[in-house]
Amino acid sequence: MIAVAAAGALLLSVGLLCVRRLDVALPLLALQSACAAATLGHVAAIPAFALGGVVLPLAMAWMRPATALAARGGAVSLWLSPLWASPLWASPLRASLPWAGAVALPLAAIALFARSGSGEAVAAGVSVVALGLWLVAMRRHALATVLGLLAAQNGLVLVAGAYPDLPPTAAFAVAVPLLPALALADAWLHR
Amino acid sequence: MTGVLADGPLAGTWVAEALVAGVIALPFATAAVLAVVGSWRAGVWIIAGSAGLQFVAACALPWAVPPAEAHLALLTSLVVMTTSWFGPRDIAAALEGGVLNRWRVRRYHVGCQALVGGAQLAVLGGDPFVAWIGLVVVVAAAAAMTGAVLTPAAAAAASRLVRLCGAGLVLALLGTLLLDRAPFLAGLLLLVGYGAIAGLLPLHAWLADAAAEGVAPGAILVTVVQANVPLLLFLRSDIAPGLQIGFGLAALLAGAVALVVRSDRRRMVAMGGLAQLGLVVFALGTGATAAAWLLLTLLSLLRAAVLQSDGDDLAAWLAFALVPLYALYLLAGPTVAVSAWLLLPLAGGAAAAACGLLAMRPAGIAVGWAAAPAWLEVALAAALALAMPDTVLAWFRAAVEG
Repeated sequence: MIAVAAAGALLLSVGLLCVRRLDVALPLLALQSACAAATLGHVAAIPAFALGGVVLPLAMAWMRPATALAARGGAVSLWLSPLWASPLWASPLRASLPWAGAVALPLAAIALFARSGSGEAVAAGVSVVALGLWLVAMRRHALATVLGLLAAQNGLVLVAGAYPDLPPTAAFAVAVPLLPALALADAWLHR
Repeated sequence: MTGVLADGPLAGTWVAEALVAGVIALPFATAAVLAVVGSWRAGVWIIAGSAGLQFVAACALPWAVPPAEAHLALLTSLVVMTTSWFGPRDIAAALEGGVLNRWRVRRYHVGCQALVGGAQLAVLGGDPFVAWIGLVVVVAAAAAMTGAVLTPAAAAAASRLVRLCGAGLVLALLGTLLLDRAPFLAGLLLLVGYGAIAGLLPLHAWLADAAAEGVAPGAILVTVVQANVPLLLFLRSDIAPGLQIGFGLAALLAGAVALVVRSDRRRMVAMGGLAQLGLVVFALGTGATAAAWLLLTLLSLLRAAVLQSDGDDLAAWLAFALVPLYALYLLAGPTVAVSAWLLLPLAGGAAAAACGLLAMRPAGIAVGWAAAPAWLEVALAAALALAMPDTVLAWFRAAVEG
């Protein structure tokens, strides 16, 4: 059951990297949040799903119901802006970068954690975090940042599910999506 | 990380608990008051009073909590107190220049106090997850303060801060969760993640913009107070020394290159801080933890002094510029003990950083009452660096070994 939910969350992360519109991404995000919360086995699963899978997606839908999330370098362009604008990064190299990340990041996480014997849920969780941050790095749109951070938060919930005796402070940090809410507030203030 | 109430003569008593709770709660209570106070003049005096009270309370912390936490909380409250004395001057100038309006001043004031409260919570919380939550508050407050300025560049700087520090905090939480399952990877995640909050490579791109676009006192809090807390977490976490040495050198060299390229003074202070925080992380990696703690203290005092004098005081600038060379003197021995080859990039980076800063030195020396806090901080830094008494040295050793 846990392995299936973790695999589902990982596949939905790849799906989030593919979609170009917010109204398509939000149901995927809600579904991913449900998959992640199902693995938690802790009372914190309820706020994790309620906040990350319902409240914040609804707030995003209320803000911009049908936004196009065009793929143009986000944080990557912040680090390497002159290089990013150069012909070296022109299509198809730039277009293939998100796909390269979508394949390489989960494979690296699975190889790393399979060797350390930490279990599928931890490997899937680390992959989901990496893909969420990859989404933040690949798209400049402010709501894409919120989407990516929410997906990464779902990955943290998956990793936390591997710990049977989660301390209350850790459960709070993992279950309450503080950082996506902060990014959403920033997007709303500067819209 | 162990509970911070486990050490000190007052440890475990209600006095210690009340003291810690007071130092953490006072800034949040002040923020709540400031949210309903309409007058900006009243606001700056409330902040100055609260900061003074917090400093007095923090002076008693060495009897209640371990030295490292007490030291950082005391340093934070000292910088906050001296910075608060500039509130009337800087806020009046920002209002006159149209950089802030009355509503934005209120948001800025609430953000200032929330940032200080979050930093003290992260330092004194005594739990890695509480520290993480404190840093989330710090980042939110820093974004609110930076974004309060009425310019598109400030809004862009705030968004960049949220994006990069948000990504950093996700990595840091993942690293904290993985500490017992994959220690090396967890150490790497903690360095990259909390390094973003300190403005270290590779998620450092927010730092210079936040320092340059914000109002002066806010820039001090963001570049000094926010940057210090992750260093305590590096000290308390079990991170591979090789990783710390690599990250420290990368930050030092990147900061040195940025200083040689040059831009305005506030950006140079931010980049100088990047290079010097790199030296602190490098020192932690070589095992010279007392030297790292001393460098962090000097850096905090001198960055605050330079920014409080708006980069126009030659004495503060010179002292700030000479820190990399002083660090080289302190770290040469421990570096050779690890590997003599490391001395090459260390010396090159430290010399380039010092030369870059010295080339931009201001011409005049600030005088008058307005310069007094900066002079106090320069004098304190000089006393610590050059004439460190035995008791202070013992304090630094205890701070890192406690």
